[in-house]
Amino acid sequence: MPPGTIEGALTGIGSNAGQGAVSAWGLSWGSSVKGTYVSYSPDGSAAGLKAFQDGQSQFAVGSAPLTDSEATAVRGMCTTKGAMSLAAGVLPVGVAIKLKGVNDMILDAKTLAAILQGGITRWNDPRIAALNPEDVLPDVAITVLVQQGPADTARPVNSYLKDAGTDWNPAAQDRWPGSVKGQTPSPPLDLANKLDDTNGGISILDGSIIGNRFVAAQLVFDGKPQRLQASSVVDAVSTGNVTASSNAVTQALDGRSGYGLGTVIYIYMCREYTNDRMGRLARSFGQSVLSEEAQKNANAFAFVMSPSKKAVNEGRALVNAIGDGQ
Amino acid sequence: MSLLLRSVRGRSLPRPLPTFALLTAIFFLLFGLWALATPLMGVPDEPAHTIKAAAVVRGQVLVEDGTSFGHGVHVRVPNYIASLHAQSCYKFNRAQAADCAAPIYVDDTFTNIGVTSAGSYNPMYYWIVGLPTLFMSGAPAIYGMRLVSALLCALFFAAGFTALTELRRPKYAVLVAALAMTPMVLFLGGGINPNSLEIAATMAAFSGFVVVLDNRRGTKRVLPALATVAAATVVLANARQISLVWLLCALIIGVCSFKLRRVVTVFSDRRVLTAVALAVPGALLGLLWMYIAANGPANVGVAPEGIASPHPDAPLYRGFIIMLDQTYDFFPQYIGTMGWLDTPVPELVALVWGGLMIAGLVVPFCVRPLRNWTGYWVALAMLYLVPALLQTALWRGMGFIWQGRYTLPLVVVLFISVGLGLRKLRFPGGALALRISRVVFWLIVACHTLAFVYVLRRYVVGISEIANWQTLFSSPHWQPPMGWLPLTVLYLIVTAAGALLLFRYLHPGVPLTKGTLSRSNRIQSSAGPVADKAEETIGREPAPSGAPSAPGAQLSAGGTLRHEN
Repeated sequence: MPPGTIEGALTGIGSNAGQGAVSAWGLSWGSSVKGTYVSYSPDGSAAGLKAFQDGQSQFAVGSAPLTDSEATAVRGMCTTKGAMSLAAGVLPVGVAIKLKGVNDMILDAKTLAAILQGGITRWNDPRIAALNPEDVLPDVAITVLVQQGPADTARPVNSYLKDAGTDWNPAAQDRWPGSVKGQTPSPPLDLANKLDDTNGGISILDGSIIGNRFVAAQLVFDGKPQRLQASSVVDAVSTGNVTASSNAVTQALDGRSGYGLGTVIYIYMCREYTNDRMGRLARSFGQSVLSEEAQKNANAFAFVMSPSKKAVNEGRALVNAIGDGQ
Repeated sequence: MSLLLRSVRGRSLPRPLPTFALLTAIFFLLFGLWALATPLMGVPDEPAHTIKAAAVVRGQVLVEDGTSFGHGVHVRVPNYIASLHAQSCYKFNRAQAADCAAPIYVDDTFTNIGVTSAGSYNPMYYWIVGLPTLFMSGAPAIYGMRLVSALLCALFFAAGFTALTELRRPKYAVLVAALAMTPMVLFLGGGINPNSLEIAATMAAFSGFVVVLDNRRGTKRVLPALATVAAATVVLANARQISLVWLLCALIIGVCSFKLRRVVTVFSDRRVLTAVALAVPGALLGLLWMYIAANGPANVGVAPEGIASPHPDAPLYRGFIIMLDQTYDFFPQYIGTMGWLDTPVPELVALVWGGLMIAGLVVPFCVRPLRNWTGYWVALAMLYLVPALLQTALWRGMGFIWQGRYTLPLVVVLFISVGLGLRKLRFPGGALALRISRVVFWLIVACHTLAFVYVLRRYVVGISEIANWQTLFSSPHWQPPMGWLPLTVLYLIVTAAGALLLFRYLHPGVPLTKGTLSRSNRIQSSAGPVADKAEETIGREPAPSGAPSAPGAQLSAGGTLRHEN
């Protein structure tokens, strides 16, 4: 093998929300670095972290950054330097509605919370009508269909509703409060199929699944309705807060400038791998993930937005330092 | 009668051994050439099986807790093995030549995580096939694994054919079995995937079993066939779980191809019971593995890439009906859909085998009495029902994953059952039959070679809408070991040699290449339809005292066996 050859496969486990993005990043890496491949299993963020800690994967994907204690405790394929979390993409999350004759809908946090908790049971409820004065809403029962936690889509919605001052107290950030109706163990795609068959249904799904298949409600951020569309999400990302440290680059969405409901996709990698060859391979993958081409791929194939420029630059600096002794 | 006795005495010589050795060599060469012609990991699911084999020979036999994930089981193997999924750039895209794949280096040996969807499969096949990775590395080790797998398959196909020649009237069965060796069967034999061994072992088990049933009063003469059944049973019990279904199908079809009284007689034979006793422990081991696998961590939680998605709420009857509806849609895959379902053989090849298969399926409707075809009817019913039932069971969890190659063990048995049903007919040897036979044989050789070179074209330059055959010579993008042209020439030679061997067996003393008949054959032809010369020389079951030697058979004044129907 010629010296410096980068060739091989990396294995990752993690969130369902990350599946499309990792697939797009893997394609991009495989086409730019011949002989490389990513095998990814969307078994959930918790399973991903455990596999990463147990040395069953070279990277993991989750919807929140590792805490400092989690990051330093990771061993597996990492040296004593532990792991790092990089914001690598943002998958918009939407409120999907299936209601015959209705092509648009505006909801605010309080109304959404009431719908999800069963406080509003019909679509022509005065509180919904007040937000949509120009629409004639049908007298159809509301059927809530959400993925039983842990769910990647629950985290941003929990934050949105809690920040809006509603009575919203989930036991964990990635789980729905027990008061939320219609929690089912179905994976997102099955949930979407069920929603498709349910007139009057409402669900929380990621933007790649909603697409043109369902009506995505406009959500009120900072008193202004925002539509689920790429440009609006990019606006929220570009002005969102970014933090950088030696083991994490985090990204937040700013609802004041755009559609602020989205799952930030974090990739967990070792700061240094126990095997040099593996370290070079992982560094190559990390560089590819944060490259313009891979981010474009993720946007085109999986509706995953790029983190802000600052987050990408900070992330690249950490990736370039993998295994260099720092 | 004296002639018959002489023939029987002649059988005391170890006749089957040279036949078996010759057939093993031919099958091994055919599979070996496919192994070289197909780029590494170009056979369906080959990465998963290769990774599993490398793990098993390194002691990773059981699936341990915490190593099983949605996309498969994680094992620790050398990086050149763990990275085999990276060889997928040409997968599902027949316009893409194989040069896009990276080299597989000999010194790329650091231990890495490999992902295999075959994690909970029985380790027997993998223990054998993985051996080359213990003393070789890189691409040579993987070619070595392919050749070991090819040898295993060759042994069982050779044993099956050798057994068939021990039938009392073997020619039709041997001929149909040979025609059932479609390009797809040969292609699969060149890859690392127990699917090929499953086809070979099912064919061997069925062939050996019917030979034993056919020679119920002389099992001593068919000991090799008996050994074949025992060995194939053990192998099938220790291949994939579905293999036991094929074994069961083969045995049921075998039983239905003969009278029940004969079956009862066979299973009271001392030698048969000994063979059963030898096979049972091996089969029990297979069942034990199934128990262990069923109670261990899950093997894989997602459908194979690019095939289909799960339908957890789907009504099962609908899946069953869809499969019934698609029964004949799988025939092109029985004939040849190479690569990762991306390279169907040329239309000519599909037409020729399609014609042969239709003829095979229709013949039983034309030859009376229909009750003589019980084995065939049962096999045909199984072709409809068994894949449909198995796929229905998998539908909710894995979606529609069925491929034609999964059914090939049953398909081969089905067509051999047609040959068995024809066994009471006189094998044609007249001038016209010989002429037709010659043309068909050369057509088959040409089609096998065309399929081979077409698949090479797919990997060397890619299949484009323009007929880019000339670019094979002018600008090949990828080359297999030895080069595509020498491999093609060798393949032509081996298939022609196989055809010649079969033709000589079916028409002793008649050349395959000449348009004129040999003297002995002319004499026979002029005297009427030629009887089975092979049957004359191959021993037959001694008739019970006072009974005819065989149903519908009589010795003519000239010592030639004639069949009356």
